[in-house]
Amino acid sequence: MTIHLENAINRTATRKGGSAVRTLKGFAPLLPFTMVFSFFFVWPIFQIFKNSITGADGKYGLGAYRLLFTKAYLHAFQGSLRLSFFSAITAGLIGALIAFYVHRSSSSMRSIISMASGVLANAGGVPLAFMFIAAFGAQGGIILLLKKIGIDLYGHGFTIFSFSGLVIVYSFFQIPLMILVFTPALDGVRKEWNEASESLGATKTQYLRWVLIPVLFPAYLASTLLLFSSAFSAFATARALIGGNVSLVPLVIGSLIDGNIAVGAEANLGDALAVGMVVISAIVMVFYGLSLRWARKR
Amino acid sequence: MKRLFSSGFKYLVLAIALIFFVLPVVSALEFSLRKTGGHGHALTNYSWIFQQEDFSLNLMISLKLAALTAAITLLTVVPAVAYLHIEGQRYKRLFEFLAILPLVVPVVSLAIGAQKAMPEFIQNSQYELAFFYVVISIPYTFQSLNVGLSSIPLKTLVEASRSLGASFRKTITMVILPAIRSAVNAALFLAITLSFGEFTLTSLLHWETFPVWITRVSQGNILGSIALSMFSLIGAWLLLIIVQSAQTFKSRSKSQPKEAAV
Amino acid sequence: MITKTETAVSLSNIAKHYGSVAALHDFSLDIASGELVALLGPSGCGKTTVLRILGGLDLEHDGNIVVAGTDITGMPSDKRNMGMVFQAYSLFPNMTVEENVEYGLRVRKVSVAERRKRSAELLEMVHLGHRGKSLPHQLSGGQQQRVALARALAISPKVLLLDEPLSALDAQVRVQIREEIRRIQLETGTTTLFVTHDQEEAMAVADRVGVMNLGQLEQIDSPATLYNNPKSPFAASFVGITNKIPAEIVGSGKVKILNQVVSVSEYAGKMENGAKVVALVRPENFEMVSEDQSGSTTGRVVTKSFLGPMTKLGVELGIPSLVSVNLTSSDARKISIGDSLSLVVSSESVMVDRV
Repeated sequence: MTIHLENAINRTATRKGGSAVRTLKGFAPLLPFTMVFSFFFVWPIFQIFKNSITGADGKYGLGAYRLLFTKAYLHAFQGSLRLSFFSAITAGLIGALIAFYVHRSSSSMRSIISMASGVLANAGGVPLAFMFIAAFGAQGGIILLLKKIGIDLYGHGFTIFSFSGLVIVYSFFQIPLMILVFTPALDGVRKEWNEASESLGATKTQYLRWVLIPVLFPAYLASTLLLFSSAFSAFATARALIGGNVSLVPLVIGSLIDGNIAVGAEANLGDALAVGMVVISAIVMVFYGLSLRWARKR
Repeated sequence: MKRLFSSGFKYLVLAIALIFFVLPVVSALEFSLRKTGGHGHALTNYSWIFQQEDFSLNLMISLKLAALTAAITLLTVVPAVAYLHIEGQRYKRLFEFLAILPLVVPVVSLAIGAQKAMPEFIQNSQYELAFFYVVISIPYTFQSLNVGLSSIPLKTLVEASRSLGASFRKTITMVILPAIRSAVNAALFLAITLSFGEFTLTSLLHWETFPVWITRVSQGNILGSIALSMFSLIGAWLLLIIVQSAQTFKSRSKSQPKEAAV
Repeated sequence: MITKTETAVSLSNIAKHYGSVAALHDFSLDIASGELVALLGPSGCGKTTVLRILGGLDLEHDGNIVVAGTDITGMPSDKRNMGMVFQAYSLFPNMTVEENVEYGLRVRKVSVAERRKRSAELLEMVHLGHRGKSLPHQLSGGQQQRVALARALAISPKVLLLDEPLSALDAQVRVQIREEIRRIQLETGTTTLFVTHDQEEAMAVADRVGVMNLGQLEQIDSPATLYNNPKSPFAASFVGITNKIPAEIVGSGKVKILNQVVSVSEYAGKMENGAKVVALVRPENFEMVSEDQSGSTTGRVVTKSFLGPMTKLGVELGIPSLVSVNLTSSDARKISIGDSLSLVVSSESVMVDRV
């Protein structure tokens, strides 16, 4: 009798809870992720968008953006884009070339290079900058060595604390990154294509021009865009290496955060700059996604 | 294919690459061994590192944060990706999109938002960093798990396990997780590497961890700072090499019985 | 027929080594003009090596290759004018079907108009006239292989080389496309070398089938000859003679197999009296008889599988392995697993092999 009653109660309870509980229960595994993601990512990003369109008086205003479009800050964006472009192009070309050769080496060579790439692509930050200062600074071993054999780089105006210095330093982790992301595309190249092309009478150059380069181009583009994006948002290396020598957006934002100059329209200038970076970065990523989709069709 | 380019050119390219990657390391190592002021080389700069009182303190903070980051990743990202593959396919595209976003937002931008938007009690705790590290590493951890789960016959495994009477939770812990263990390991490893090296957000939020401390302590002592940089770079590389070769070794020993069967 | 027409391809004494391992030794083969020769063998037997050597993709070998009276040994692939069709994925993924077919002509600097015309013709021939603007990944596996065939034929090749072109396809499509290959090959009269590991496929399309084993040509004959008179135990097993039954030589040219004495086919007949051998018997060369018929052997049916017109039985006859027996399904209808069954070997002669 009691058992019956209990069962009946249980049954009604379950029925009452019904689908709502089940849906919630079903969604449970996504809950921790969603909470962390919302609170530590969506919320702060929402705040910078909101702040960027808030004036000094706390009301809606575009003062921060008006400031952003002045010479000094446009110059920073220009510097960032230029740096990202040059480092992506340089590292992209060299990385692709190395990947191409490594791809056709012995398997032991391949695993060494892919391990080295995995390790070096993770280099970066302040220690990397210091390493290059030690190697390429005015008293650096390489510079002194070159001086001994008659090449005075610093005498010719070179300095590691400059735009081109930064491109060299970025290459140190971007070339390995390129090797990592571009190699899978090379793995997709079938030897049958070359053999078919050869048997149909084509020369190597014709094969390269008509088949290999067109086939690999979308993946190459996607990889290069990824390098662009990584250079665009890099902060630590640039800050440690060049400080204020070259005007870059992340460095400007950094100094705004550190400086705490929270007065007038400048109070929210950092947010506007941050939004600007997000927008540019988003555009790059959209093109990255498109070229990736293009590459998948290959 | 072999004759597409001459092999001479190939070796030239590889040699230049080798020089580009090895020379700076060697040169910086040489620099870090120089003696202050005078000539000659010694290990003084390295012994200086260990004389710094905060060395072990900051190393411990970074290790703690790395462990916390890994734990949060395990509790948030892993169940989410597993659920998206098994039952929540209709949310999969949405979450895949969300997981890419931290790559779109530069960390500097996130830092400025974090500095202004976070409530006081969170800003006052150093452990907020671990949550941000989790978020920053999501594009990589999510992807790694996604690939891992796509590579196993998940649906069949789940159906087989359930038809044998296992609950959903048991299926996950006893069947799915062991099957994607290497992907989970890789994801946690990515989260740990990232958290251990993160500088941008940490320094902009004015916290001191190992990488931030390195920069601060370096300011008065150039030679010491180089030594410290080389110490942390080479330390990180060695760690990476150990983990990677362990993975390669594991996957090799795993694939051997398969080859024998063929 | 073969002797009448001229020789299109002549491979003589081809040998190929990978280190100390010989992939091919002393391989010679003549292919008549317009003939389709299939090379049949297990993987690693050297059949693909022959094809690649003929196609010029592998130039490091001994021996000579003569095509249409010209010695082309050492000539690189792009000068040989041979069309190749590979297992799969050989279409250039960045080009449309049309552009793929035109590739060889573009290389030869044929005018655009002429190229278009030729590719349209060829695509029509492989029944893909309407898919010219598609990209390879939009086609099914079978369609891709048909495009690959059209591409290879576009250059009017001296020899067409087919390297297991059907092995990546579904069983049904495979039959359909192999018939199409044969039709087009006859239509164009292209001399063809077809490499496969599938016995049925080779028999179905080829004028002559060459069975290869361990880098050597064991036998080359028309499909019918090969089927009826395999010259070696290896060739026999490759053309469907699967039962190996312990037997004993009794008198010259006679062998005692189970309770029955039959002739030994002439090829392997040089064995002395009383020698223990294995007899090779095709599953369909058994006949169901009544139990009291002389020479019959009675056993128990252990397995039975229905194969449409035929039914395959596994019969326990007191020898170590099950004997597989094919009966017409109408004969086999009344037999169930566990029944006893009396059998005789129905062929007049069997092939024997040393134990």
